[in-house]
Amino acid sequence: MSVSEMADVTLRESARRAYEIGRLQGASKRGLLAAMVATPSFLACGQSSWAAACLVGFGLVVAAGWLRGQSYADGVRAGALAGILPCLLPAGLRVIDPTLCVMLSERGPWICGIGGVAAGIVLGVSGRSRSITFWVAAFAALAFPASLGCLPAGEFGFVGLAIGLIGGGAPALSARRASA
Amino acid sequence: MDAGERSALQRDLTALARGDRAAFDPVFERLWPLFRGFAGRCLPPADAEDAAQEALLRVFSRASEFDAGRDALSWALGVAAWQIRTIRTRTRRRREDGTGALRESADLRPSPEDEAVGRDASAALDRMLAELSPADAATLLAYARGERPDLPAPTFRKRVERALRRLRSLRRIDHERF
Repeated sequence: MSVSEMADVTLRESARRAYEIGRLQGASKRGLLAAMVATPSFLACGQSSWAAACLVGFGLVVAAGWLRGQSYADGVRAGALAGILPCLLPAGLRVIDPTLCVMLSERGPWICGIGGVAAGIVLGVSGRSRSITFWVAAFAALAFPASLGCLPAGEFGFVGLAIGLIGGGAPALSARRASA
Repeated sequence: MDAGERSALQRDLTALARGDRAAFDPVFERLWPLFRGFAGRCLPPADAEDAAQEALLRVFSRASEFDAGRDALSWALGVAAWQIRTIRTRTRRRREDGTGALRESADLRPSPEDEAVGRDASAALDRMLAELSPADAATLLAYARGERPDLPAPTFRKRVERALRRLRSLRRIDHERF
């Protein structure tokens, strides 16, 4: 190997490292931003260790998806977008009326169900890529913020979220497939 | 770079921005010769290689931020141009600092040889000034200090010229003496 070839290899490695570092910085920023967006829900509707784990998990999943790129990044973007409503809806209700969130949760998993429907529609509409990696990343990014919002409602909250997700996502997805 | 290569760069840089690592090598192969040529036209050869490398690393570190709606070639050359400008400024400052430091060190620390020569010259000048008439010596000292006696400018200039002529003749005599 000549000196110029060795220099070229070294430069290529440095460029690759520069690319990965740049990507890592971008991923960290996005992960942090995602965690910040979900923080009001953590503060308003339950500061338990599970909620903290969901908050941290959400940030990590977003960062990891962005770092990996391609369909993972697309999936994480769609999942995070879909998870915003089920995550922030309970917190928003608590800000309006502190008793409203608890009252609605006690009378049934309505808030989580509504959030699930919204998340399902968003996922169904934005599910451009049909690869398995997209859906894995999307559900991972959705699960953490949605859980954060539905933790105060307990098991019924999660059931409501799942029913809402299927109820909102299935028609949107089938309509999209029919039009494609 | 022709239209085909340009559109290939657009496609590959877009893929790299999305996290497709397979697009790394094609982007590298296209940009490296381009940046070398670009830097070579803008900078001296010693700086051109460094500038091209730094520009290439900068492009790759920011590749994830590339917006697919923009023209890839213009974006990459914009980053390279900025880097070349930075290196130009850095080189110019370094040169200015180097010259300043050199001048400063020369002023602050004359070599023993310079000191000896300076002492000899000063002594010779003192001797010659002592041999000049007091009026000529005063004129030359005033001229050396940048002062002008209360005289019209042409008169003073004439006196300086005369005194210098006499000084030169004394210097010749002085040299012939040794």
